[in-house]
Amino acid sequence: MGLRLKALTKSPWVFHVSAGSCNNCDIEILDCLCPRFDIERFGVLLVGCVRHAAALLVTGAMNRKSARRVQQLYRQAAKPCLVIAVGSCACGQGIFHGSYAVGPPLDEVLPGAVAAYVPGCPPKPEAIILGVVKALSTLSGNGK
Amino acid sequence: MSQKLVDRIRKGIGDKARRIDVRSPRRVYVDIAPNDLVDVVKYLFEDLRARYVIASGVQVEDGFEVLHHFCFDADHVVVSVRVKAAPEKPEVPSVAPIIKGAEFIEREMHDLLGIEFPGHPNLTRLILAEDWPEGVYPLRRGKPWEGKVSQQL
Amino acid sequence: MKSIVPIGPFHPLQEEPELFRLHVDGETVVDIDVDIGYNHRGIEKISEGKTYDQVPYLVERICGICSTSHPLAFVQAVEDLAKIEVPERALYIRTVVAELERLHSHLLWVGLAGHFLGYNTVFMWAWKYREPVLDTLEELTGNRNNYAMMKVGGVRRDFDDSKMSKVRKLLDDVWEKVVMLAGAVTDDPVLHARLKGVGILSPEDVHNYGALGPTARASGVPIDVRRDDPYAAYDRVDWSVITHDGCDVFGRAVVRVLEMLESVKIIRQCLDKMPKGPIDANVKEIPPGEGIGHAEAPRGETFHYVRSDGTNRPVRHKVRAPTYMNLPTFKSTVIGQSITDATIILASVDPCYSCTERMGVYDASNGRKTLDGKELLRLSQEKTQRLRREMGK
Repeated sequence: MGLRLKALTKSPWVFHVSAGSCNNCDIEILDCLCPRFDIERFGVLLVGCVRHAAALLVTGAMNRKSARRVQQLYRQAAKPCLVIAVGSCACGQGIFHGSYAVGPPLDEVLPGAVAAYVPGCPPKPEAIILGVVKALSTLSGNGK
Repeated sequence: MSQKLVDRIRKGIGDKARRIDVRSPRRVYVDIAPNDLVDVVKYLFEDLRARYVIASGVQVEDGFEVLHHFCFDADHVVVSVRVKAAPEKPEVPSVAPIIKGAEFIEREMHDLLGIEFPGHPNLTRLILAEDWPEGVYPLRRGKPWEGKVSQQL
Repeated sequence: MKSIVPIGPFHPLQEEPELFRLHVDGETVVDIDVDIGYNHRGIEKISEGKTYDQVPYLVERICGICSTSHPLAFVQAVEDLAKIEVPERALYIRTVVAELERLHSHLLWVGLAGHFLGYNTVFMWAWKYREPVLDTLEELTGNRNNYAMMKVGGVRRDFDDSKMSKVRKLLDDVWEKVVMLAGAVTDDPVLHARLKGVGILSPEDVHNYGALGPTARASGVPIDVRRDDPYAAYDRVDWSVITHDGCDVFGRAVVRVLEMLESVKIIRQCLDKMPKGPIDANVKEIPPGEGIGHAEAPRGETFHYVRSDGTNRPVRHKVRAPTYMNLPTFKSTVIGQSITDATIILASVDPCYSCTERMGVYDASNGRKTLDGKELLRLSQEKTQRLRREMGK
């Protein structure tokens, strides 16, 4: 990776949500859990409840129906909650930009909340881990 | 292989077929009047046991077309049954009472093209967002949503 | 007393937003509503604004895991329309990419199914063996997913012959692992008890709903586009359509596992038979007309209908993914079953949610939850544990 990433001193819980995604990013995120990439060695845990999440991994082009649910989820999360846009769709709607079925992009759906953008279609698991760990290491209590 | 099938279909639907076009050995297009759609679909689906594939709705110069696609897997043929609907208040009889698998696609064509399907058990919104305005059909020509749909959520 | 159990829209099991509402009476599901639309991105409309060369990049992104079946069905629809003959070598390359995709898609499903049942080691194992398949795809096409290989008239990139021995080694490894998996699945009495007779889909309902792929084949219905309307090089190699008579979740699992072995057989023969030669018919113009193309994605038939007016953009592009037809079968397979089985029944059709508009079940009337998705997963995993204990395993 070129950068040495130390394990985070806190074990941040991360919640993953998809809002109009083709799933490639979602599958690569799950891949990060698998032994080959093993995001857990950095202390990052994927959880099933947004209330305890320190970060929200968001994928998808912000389809109108899903985008509102993303807003609701973000409201439920304890703050500070870092939002990490994973994939070209979450970063800027990718090839779906301008479609009638999508509303504004993620950083307008959650203004000021996006802490990191991990572009790629889909980004490789190594890129996702790099982005997530870098973003999470800015949370207080974590070593750099 | 497809000639035998075409002959069977021709016999089975009689003069209901305005046109049977064997475009290629594996692609047949049958044009019929909307009033004959239910009978023809019943024949293909129930009598000949064709597999229902999906329907394609298309806006054309003089109205709309709905093509119901059927697969005769053992005969290696896709038969598409085409009906036309008028440009103003387009209507095509629903085949959902005969084919459960057609319920979704008729709702989708209703959502995106504004075609009515009298006889459908539940012709409600399927894929557009709850706040998408009524009467705006995105798959129609041009960009019918411009100026009618807010860019904000 | 009836109550509603929603699953989704952001259920940790399903990576995609989806809403299923199960109406339950005690522990039995009495009705199910499905609400879709959470992934609708307006692809058919976007397609009308793209050239025939650009559309494959768009439709590849309909679904990450059926990534190659959509461009394949699309280019075949255009080739049908314009009566284009694709060079032999390109047909074989298309087949190899499509079958490698089937391998990693089915492995993905095996992993998820294992997780839903509480066999977490199966999840890790299956996804571990997915990686070499993705690596091979990356070596051959340049990317782990979204391979951008299909174009109207051929394929975009040739295979590097120097990589073929690596591919063959991968196939040998996969064969060994899948044979082991097949044995484990068919011999495990806990799996038999857990999955047999669960989520029954009758052949009559396969016909009524237009169900496809392993979902249909596990009900004994022998439909497979690769044999029924052969495309790419499927009619030039020997392989079998896998069916099972169980009509249940067990059958669907067996079909997918055995299909992986057929995929290995197909790829091996393609590598043996692939001729040298051009990979592109160099199509310059698409005449007016209409065309239909379909391909057997891992989940079933992907169907595209294209209409052209002679310009370089389609006038209409209808896309139908297999899950669109398979999802409504839930009304038949889940009703009457226990909620402890709802999760695995839903998963057994291998829903490719982004291909279709996800079904969501809405309970607008009271919005009250008795159980959430996490608890349904726990129930599913607990049932497996209980069976294990009862069987002394």
